[in-house]
Amino acid sequence: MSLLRRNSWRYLLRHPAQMLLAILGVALGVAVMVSIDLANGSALRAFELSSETITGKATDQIVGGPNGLPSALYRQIRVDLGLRLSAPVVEANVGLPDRPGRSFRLLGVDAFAEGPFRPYLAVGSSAANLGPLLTQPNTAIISFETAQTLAITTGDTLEIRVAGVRQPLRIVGLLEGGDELSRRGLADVLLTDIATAQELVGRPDRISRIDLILPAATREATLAQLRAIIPADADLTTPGARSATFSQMTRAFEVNLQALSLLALIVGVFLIYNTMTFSVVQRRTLFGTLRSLGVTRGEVFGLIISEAALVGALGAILGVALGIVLGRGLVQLVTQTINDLYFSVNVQAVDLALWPLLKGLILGLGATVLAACVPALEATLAAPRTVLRRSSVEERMRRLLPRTTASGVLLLLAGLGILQIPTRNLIVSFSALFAILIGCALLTPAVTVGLMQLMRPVFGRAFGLLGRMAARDVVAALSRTGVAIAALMVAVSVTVGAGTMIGSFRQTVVQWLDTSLQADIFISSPSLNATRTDVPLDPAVVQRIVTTEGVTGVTTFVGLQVGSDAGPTNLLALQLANDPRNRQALTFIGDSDAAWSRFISGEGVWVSEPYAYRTGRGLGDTLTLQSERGPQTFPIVGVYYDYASDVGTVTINRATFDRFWNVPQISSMAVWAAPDADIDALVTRLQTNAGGTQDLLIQPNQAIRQATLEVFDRTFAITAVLQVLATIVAFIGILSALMALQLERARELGVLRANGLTPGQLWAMVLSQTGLMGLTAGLLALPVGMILAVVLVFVINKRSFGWTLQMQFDPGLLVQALVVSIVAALLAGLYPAWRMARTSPALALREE
Amino acid sequence: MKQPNTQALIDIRNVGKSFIEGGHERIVLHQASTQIQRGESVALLGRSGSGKSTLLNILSGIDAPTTGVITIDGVALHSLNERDRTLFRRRNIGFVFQFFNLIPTLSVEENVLLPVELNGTVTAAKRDAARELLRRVGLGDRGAAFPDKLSGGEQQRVAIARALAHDPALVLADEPTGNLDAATGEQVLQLLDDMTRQAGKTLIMVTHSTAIAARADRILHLEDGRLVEHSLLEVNE
Repeated sequence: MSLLRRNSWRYLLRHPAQMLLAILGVALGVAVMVSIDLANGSALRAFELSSETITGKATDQIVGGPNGLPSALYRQIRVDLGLRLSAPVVEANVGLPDRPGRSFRLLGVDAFAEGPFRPYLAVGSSAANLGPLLTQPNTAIISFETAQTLAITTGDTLEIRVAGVRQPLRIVGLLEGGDELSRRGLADVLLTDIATAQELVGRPDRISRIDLILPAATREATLAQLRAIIPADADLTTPGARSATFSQMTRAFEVNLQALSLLALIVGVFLIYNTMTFSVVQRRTLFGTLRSLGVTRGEVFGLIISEAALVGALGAILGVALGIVLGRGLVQLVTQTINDLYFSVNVQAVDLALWPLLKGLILGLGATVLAACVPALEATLAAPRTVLRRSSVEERMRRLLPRTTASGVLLLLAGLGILQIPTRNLIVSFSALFAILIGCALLTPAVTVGLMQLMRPVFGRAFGLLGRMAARDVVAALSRTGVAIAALMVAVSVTVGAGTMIGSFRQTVVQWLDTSLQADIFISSPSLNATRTDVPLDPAVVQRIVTTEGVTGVTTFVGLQVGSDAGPTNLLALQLANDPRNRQALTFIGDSDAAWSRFISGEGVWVSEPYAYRTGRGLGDTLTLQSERGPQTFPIVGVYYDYASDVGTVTINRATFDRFWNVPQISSMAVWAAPDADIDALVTRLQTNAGGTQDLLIQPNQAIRQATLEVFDRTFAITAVLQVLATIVAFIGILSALMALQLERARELGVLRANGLTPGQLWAMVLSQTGLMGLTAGLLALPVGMILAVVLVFVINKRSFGWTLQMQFDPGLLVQALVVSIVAALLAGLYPAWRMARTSPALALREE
Repeated sequence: MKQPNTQALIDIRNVGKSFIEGGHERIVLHQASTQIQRGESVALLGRSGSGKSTLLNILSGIDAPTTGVITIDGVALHSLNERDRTLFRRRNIGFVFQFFNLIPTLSVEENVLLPVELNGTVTAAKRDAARELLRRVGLGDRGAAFPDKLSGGEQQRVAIARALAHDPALVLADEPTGNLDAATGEQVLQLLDDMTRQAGKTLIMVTHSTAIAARADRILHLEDGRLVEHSLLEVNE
């Protein structure tokens, strides 16, 4: 190792706290990012793996509509068309009543057709013995690993819930995936014979889809033949297209989380910049000496950059390791949200894909080196003479202040300008948000100078000379205090911005629930998806509900997914009770009366605001839905506010629906009671009358309200975790800056101590200074946070999910942000103050 | 003044240096001209703020003159870019500072070897030479120690060894005893004088002490930015 490198290495070793804080800052930033990537990736990968395992080698699929496909179609394809490479599949999501949250994909297959598709299921395959499935009713096979997780084995009975009904299944075999991916893909598969599956889902003679392997040469011709014979509401698609549709659903959710995670890294970059600036300032004499001895600028630059690279590499490696640990925790939160809002997915473990880990390493290292470039350039561009001078960095900072401020204003304006671009691209929107944030961060030094000028006389009057010194010192060391304040400001402003956005969103949802939950009681069967009720209610149960004493009216719903010219669409058919309160349940954009009258007359459909936004269809446009009687085009006669899902819903009058679909089921009901009825007593009566056949959720509207808000809070739990982590990184940043600052002032403080400053006064002075820094960061964070909130509410949210939110500022949140900022800064000042107070003045003077 | 000599190591011609302070020009050096021979020992005398350190910085290429030309060993410094000036300094000039400026994270021996390594010429023989230099400054047994374990005098002796380690033609010393007590300062000066003379190096030493200046072959006096050559007698008067 060269002497320069050795000198550098020893410097880092001699400042372990400084180095450790910097490494920790990078590590936390990287960890947050990696963990989010891993959690997102794991959830989607689990879904993809499961789909791939289930899809096998199929090139094409015929996917049935709400009623599936007739079994006869399969026979027709295999026999009449001679497509021997075809396999029927019955697929459904099922739950375990004893394990809430655990779901399976029920896969009913014909073992004799399976060979070319899913070799591990082929008759005679060593991986599984499907024999018992064919010969014994109500039997299933699960994967070896899943059996271990559930602590069951061959011969045991597993109780599942299909369509709200509990069904026992005897496990007659364990399936072993040939490789790791197959094993993971099979983790949530419950395999049965096709007849068993048809019986379980209550649709004998119907199948969900037909998998096909079509040779490339004859594919187009075969597809044309197939199109001619498949039912009107069936979809001829490819497995890849289906999978992509699901990925697309969660795209906005993922991008939002990634942007939040990137924020932690940005705060980390501030920290690195601060640390590296300090390490340069601390060694200005050393660099001056080296330059005098003939070390070139390039060599000094290389030296500082290599130190940063070392810190960055260590931080990134530690961050990746931390990210994996954190990812294991976050994956549950992400999975919960995807299950709540989008589709059923079962994640058993974090998928340690290479790219997120590599990305963490590259970004951690890259961001650190990039952040170190500025101080490295400062050290190398200054002449040796000025590097030797103690105040040169501060002089430079003051000289650059107008330019920094102007850059901040320009960046801020650029960010606001980018927001005006009419795009739905979230990357563009988040770039604008980051530009605004960094622009405001660049304004921090100038605001700090101004604020300290105001504070100096106030602190002077309150604390005398020491108070004035505290305010002056913040400005005197602006190169370091400015960055620390900016880092804290960014973290706190994000808390204000995200907090205000979540608060506004929650308040909007509360108002929406208050108006939409007009009925007294809601009834559905437990679903795997918190925001969709897609499990059909038993007709006998429906009849018993309608005739229960005290029920004055019933609105029924059936939810299903259909194809449309705007992609897969959640369709809700609505049969309204004859109750005037119905009309208050929905708030329309535009003319409400026209929307109601045209809907009731069967003239068209309503779409929810997110659906309208996502598909670009609005009032007066048309929408073509794949019905059992072929494509049907409906005008859109109303767009209503709806916060249940960002995928959106199309609502159709039940009478109109029945003309085109033969789906007699009802999946949920809203029950109306007399105005003065005892709702709790009615709930009990309904439970007694309707219970027993099917698992039912019979909930008064307050319980639905509560449950919806619980889903809401669960969705944003991950945001709160990320905010806390970003604040921790900022805290480390300000601690690191203050330690550096106080240690650098050792001699000055030694002189003060020698002149009679008591340790108590020293504590007061250091804490006054750090408190002022916290106050500055907090005060700045309030307007910046509000700007961020406006952008998040009116731009990011709208572009991500299509929701219109009512903006609401919470004064409590603003006060809390200010307090957090000051307390964080004061806490960060404790250690440096303690350390300086117990250092003997003689030592402090000598050490200089 | 001595007559110009074509064999001179350093040729200073009409060198001026001024700074802009508060919108006004402050002249630190005014048309300074002289020549310094190989092996010559020169004291640069003057009060605080007279421009001594500025001239030293200009001589080493750390700072550039506002006017005039400096040639060292036939190389005009102004013709070099910043990087080449740094490389020239690295090869041809040794520095002794008032505040020692040893590298705290390098051991004593490593400090001495630093200029050699910067020149990329570390060999076993150079290492031996560095140890010999340390032995000559009386610190042969302290090679493994770090600077913070040494007294001020010892640190300055290491700095002298470092200044000579890469065998430069010129040694510049900026008030090398300014931070030492009288007795230690005397020892350090003796050492610096002996070692540069024995090695045949040119030494330019900034000082404001006439007693120290008396050791030099020549005394250059900086008065209000003007370089004047004095005899010792004149200086004492």
